[in-house]
Amino acid sequence: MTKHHLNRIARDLAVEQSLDAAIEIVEVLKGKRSDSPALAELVSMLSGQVQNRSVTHDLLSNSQTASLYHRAFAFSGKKYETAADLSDAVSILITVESDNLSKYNSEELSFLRDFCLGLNKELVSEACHRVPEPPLARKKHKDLAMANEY
Amino acid sequence: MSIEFNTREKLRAVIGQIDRLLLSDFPHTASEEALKRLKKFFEGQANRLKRAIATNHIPTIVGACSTANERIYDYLPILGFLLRSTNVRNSFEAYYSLLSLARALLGNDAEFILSSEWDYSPLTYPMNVSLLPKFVLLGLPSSESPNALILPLAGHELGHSVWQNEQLENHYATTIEKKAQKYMKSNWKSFQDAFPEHQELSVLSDDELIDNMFLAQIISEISSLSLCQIEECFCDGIGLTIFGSSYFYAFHYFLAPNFGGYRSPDYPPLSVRARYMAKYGEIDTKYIGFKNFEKEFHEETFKSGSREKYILNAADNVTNNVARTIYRRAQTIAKKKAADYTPNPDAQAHILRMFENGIPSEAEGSISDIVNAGWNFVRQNRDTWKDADRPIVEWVSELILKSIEVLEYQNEAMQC
Repeated sequence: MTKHHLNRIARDLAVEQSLDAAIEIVEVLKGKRSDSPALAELVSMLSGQVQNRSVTHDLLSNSQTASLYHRAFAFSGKKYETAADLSDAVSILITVESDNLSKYNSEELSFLRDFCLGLNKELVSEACHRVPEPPLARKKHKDLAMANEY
Repeated sequence: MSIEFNTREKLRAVIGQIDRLLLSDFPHTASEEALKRLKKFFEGQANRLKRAIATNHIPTIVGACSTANERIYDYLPILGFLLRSTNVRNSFEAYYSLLSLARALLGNDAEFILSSEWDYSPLTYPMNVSLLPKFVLLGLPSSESPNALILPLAGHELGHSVWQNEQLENHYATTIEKKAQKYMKSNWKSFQDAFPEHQELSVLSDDELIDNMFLAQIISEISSLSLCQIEECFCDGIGLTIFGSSYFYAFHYFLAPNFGGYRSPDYPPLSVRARYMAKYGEIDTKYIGFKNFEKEFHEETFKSGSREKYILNAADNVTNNVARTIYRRAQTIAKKKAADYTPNPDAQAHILRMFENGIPSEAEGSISDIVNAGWNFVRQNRDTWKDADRPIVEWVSELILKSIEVLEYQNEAMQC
């Protein structure tokens, strides 16, 4: 079965979606609004339109998606060693009612905001390293840095 | 000075630059339309920054500034590309033929922008122009602008847009990931040698591989690289199917033996790409004059430590496993969507006869038939040609470009 995959275009579009969502959540925290259409759009893109807890396992069964979530949550200092640990955090995101964010407390909203900012940071970094089209035969040495950073 | 102030000014400067570019004379409307969309995009960035500043939340403001910086970094070269697309150096004779090829492959709403670039590489920008999804931006090296013999490389660049249009990354992502997992499990010793600090891990099931975030990260990296590599294979498959033997010649002209330097991990090694082309390209390379096409390309190096080597070897292995399937997919799509553009030996022979008489072709055919005839002309005459009169490449390029113009005129006349 084909798993939900965030392709290059989706990840690039999510750079602004995640930032817009973070801005809207801060506006909710300040009492200026109660909804976040940008968060709804972001969650829909991340989950492949399906919003229920049961899809969480499917989302995390894709290593690229799981790795992206992991790095995004790490932005706010949350480190998850296993996908099972990550699953609860992702569930909160996937099931959030973005048209009525006033029902969430400030801790929950801050959690969502930080995830969005972490995602934005990771995707900006990806976009920056995505050379438009490297020469067909060579380019400057590229570090496969992840392996060394871990 | 605050980063908000600086970022606001940088965005203002980009928008001002776009306004000035919009005053240019555009040979085709696509460049102007692309600029208008980019202007709207950057106005959106400025508005986003304003909203972020109003939140007074420092990490959000930093995120907005960082995003704006990255987007300026991303799109400034594209603004330069759009400016150069107005330059008369470009081979505009081929514009409409390439546009109609793009529309055959991508749909009637596809737009095409041709430019000559100051990078010694044919290039395309579909990789990061998510706000211009139906625009194919093709740049050819400025020193080769008048050389029509390298036009087949446009087939490779169009392939990137086809890859996206057909959503093939999504289609192959699961397969690639499973193959990456399989590689990891069957080469566990290599993994342990590359990552000795994880000696305690034992060979795991697929679920366990995903559950361990460190291993998921490694698999993600292997899959990402392999997806890039198979996209390049797919693009070679599109170029070969559309342009036939001239794709081999253009590829060889441009890249052999190599460019020196380091190998890009996003591509299979050049010699491997050549092997795939010869093996899966449905063309007998010996018949078209290459004793061993793969050996025309010399190995490139990859400077790396054992961890990087492990990841790259894994990606190469996964790519090798699916290369044949990828070529078949490229051939199926190109033959289905652009059958009128694929090579026709009779048309090529007719065009070649015209070229031998020193006149452009009036024959029915396609851009690929014209370029194939051009390469055949070069192959047959290069040893006896007197370059002192006029270089053969220059001579045949003029014939090719004029023939493409005639072809375009005929197509227009037929539509009327």
